[in-house]
Amino acid sequence: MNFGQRTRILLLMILIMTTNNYSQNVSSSRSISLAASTAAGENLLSLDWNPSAIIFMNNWEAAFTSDYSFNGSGGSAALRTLALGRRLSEMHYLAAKISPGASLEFVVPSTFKLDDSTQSLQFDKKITFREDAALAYAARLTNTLSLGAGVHIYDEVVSDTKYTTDSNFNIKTSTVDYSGNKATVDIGALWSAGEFWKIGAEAKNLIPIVDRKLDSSVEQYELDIPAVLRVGAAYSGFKNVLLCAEGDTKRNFNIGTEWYAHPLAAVRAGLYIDGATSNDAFALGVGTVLARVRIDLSYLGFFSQENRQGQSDINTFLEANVSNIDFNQFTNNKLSVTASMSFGGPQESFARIEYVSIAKELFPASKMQYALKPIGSARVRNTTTRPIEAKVNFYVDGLMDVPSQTPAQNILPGEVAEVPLYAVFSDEIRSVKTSSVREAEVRVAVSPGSEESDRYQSRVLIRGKNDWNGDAGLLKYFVTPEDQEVLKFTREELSNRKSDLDTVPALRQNFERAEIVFNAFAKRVVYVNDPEQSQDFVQYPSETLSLNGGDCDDFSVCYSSLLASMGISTAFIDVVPPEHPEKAHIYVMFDTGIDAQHAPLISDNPKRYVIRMNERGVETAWIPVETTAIRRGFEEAWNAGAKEYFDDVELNLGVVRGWVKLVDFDAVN
Amino acid sequence: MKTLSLHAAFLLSVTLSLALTAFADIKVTAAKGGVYVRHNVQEDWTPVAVGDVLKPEDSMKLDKKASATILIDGKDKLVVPEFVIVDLSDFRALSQEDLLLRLAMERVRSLPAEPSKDELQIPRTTTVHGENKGQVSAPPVSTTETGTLQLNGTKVLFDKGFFGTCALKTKEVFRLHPELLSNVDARIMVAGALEHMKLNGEALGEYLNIPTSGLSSQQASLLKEKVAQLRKSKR
Repeated sequence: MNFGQRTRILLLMILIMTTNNYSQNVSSSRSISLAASTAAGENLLSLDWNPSAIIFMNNWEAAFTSDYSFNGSGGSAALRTLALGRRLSEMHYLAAKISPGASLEFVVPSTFKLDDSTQSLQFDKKITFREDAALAYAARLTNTLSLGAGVHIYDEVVSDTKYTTDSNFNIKTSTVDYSGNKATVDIGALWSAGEFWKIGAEAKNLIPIVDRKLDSSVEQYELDIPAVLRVGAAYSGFKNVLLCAEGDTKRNFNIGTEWYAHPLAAVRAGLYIDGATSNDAFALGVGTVLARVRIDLSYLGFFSQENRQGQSDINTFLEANVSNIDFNQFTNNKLSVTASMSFGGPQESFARIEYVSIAKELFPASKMQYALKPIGSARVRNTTTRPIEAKVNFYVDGLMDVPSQTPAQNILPGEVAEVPLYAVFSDEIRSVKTSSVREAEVRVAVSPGSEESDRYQSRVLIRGKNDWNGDAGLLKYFVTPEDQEVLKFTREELSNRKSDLDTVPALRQNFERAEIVFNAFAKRVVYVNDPEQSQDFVQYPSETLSLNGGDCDDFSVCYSSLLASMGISTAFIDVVPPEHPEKAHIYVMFDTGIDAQHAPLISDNPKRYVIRMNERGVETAWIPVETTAIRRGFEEAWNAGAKEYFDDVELNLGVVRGWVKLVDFDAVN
Repeated sequence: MKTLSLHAAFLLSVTLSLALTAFADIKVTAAKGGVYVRHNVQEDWTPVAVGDVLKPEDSMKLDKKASATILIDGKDKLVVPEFVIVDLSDFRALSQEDLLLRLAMERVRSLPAEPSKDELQIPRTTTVHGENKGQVSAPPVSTTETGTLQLNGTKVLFDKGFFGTCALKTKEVFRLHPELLSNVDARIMVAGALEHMKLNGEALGEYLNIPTSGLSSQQASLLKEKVAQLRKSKR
């Protein structure tokens, strides 16, 4: 064994026994326990394993990591890292750290000793490697892609003892320090590939920059930091669970998982699989959030304790091709703790609204529907490192009494959610006469915290109160059986015909009343087309009664309201001929309340009525009425409606083929 | 022989139905006894004369001992027997798909309308007070004869091979005249019509819905045979 070999062996032995300091490569406790963090976006401390992931920082962040290493004689603790980060803007992020505990110190004993009359001198060599600092920058290029770069600065100092003799042959010693500096550049990328997937990549130590090399006399102690390419993926499709995996060009493959058992408590586990050596390990960890401080603990344990804790074999040392001083077959088990804190002024936000999409137009007549059916959605991102509950408010000034809020939605760290928007408009919206564009505001508030995190301004087109989009299902919102004008009309007409109605059998009452009201209505109104405009125009019943005119949908709505005010159920029959959709037409049918067996009381011809089940589950006879034939009287309008229905539905199978729709409006009964 | 006559009837019905699919005019070429027509949605029956041109949306009624012959689209002749009411539009062949859709629609129609979960439902539980105790009761209505005439009309559809419309019309008659559900032969006819339309599942359902009590031995035997046959074909 030559001098060089002995030196290497001793160096490694001391490396193992000197347990103060290890890592040149800081990982937070979370990343240690996850094992595969390249794609599992974190925060400030990501600068060590994927600099592009520092985009998940809040305004300001500070963190430190300390660990306790278990060596053969018990263990030792060290403060490893102090870090500080800042979100410069929505797109630019900066992070920096110093690593007081990231140093390796070796003592190579002198191979000889000088003794004279006064002293005994030993000339040990001390070699120190330090990672002084690191700096990282990341840019959020798009909503799904970020890039980052980091620089790690290393120091190497070799302290050697030199001796000289003077003219009197006295031995004089002096310490000579040989120092060298180098830096390495990492490049990282992080991509959100869909709702649940993230892909991360890092080229570590890609570009070595040597500022000053060690003196040639000690060049054998030059620190070698090889480049590594690592690619990883993270999946968050299972509720509160994150799965991740990564592999690198050194044949390491790691997998890990994180589970949020509670919004404030995470449990983690990871597995390190070393394809080149027997350096497999496992890691376990927990994490919690207290106010704005996040605390993570991890334990790293190696399956094989051979060659660890100061037990080494000479041959093993010689054969080992150690490339990572922080993590190799001689590293000890260790316990780590990381604390990080977010702070900052009012600019800090927990959630960000990235985009808002609202229905093209909103119709005042359909205001009840917008309270239950979403009018759009907001894409909200969780910008923190813990799960949040986000509530989104939608508000249009002047048309709503208070903002309409959505139910709370859970969003995992870094993830986005499409939150539906609802709107409870006040009656004020019914006074909008013509279409107008209004400003709408969307706000998101987050808990824990209950603070407003972000707001987004959008525009919404509110149509006029009489505007209708042609959907028969929404026409019923124009039916107003409780309108005073409607009630007055029907009560007056029925009162005028009281003596006749008193002689009508109970079964025929609905039918007779419908006929009376129709004929009275016919005397008042004339058919008039809608005003020329792009949207269909529907009059409310009170307007039709006061204007004494309208078109098919106005009459259908008004007649339906009149019937409903008397407790008679009605339905719209919406016909859109497939060959001529421009000839779409609406008419009405009403429930006589007469059961099928007694239907001949109103007609001997089954083609004149339709047997349907009403809302009470009884099959009754319904009468189709063509309201535009209003001037010809009830009998003719009934004939026309029955004929249309028979042709459209029975002969041409319109309902079955989907171009005839029946839209029910239930009456108070 | 029976099979042959059924095939012949089927071919005839196909020919006729092809003509009627286009809803051609229908000319009365012979009429004996009380033969009436009701145009479209009109209330009244009017007597029919030879040479009258009818429309597919019209209905015909024949008294006892009456008969009529109609010519469809100038080439297909069809004899309508006594004591029936038929809708002329029913003399057409339905495709299996159309029949299935119509049957589905019948099932949907027999369910109460369900409100869409998107819509706001205002509970309508107001109790209406003030019953009109002075109301006049409705006179009893006897429609069994009309129903019987209509049911006889469905038999004509079956005999002529219009199985799809036969099944639908018979079901409609039963809805309007539930007292006629006791007519087991008519119910067996519906099932048979569905079998002819190759809707064995629906046919089996119809056979199984026929109450087994009160059947004649011939009916019971036929029912049992049909059920077994259809169950076997389903496997």
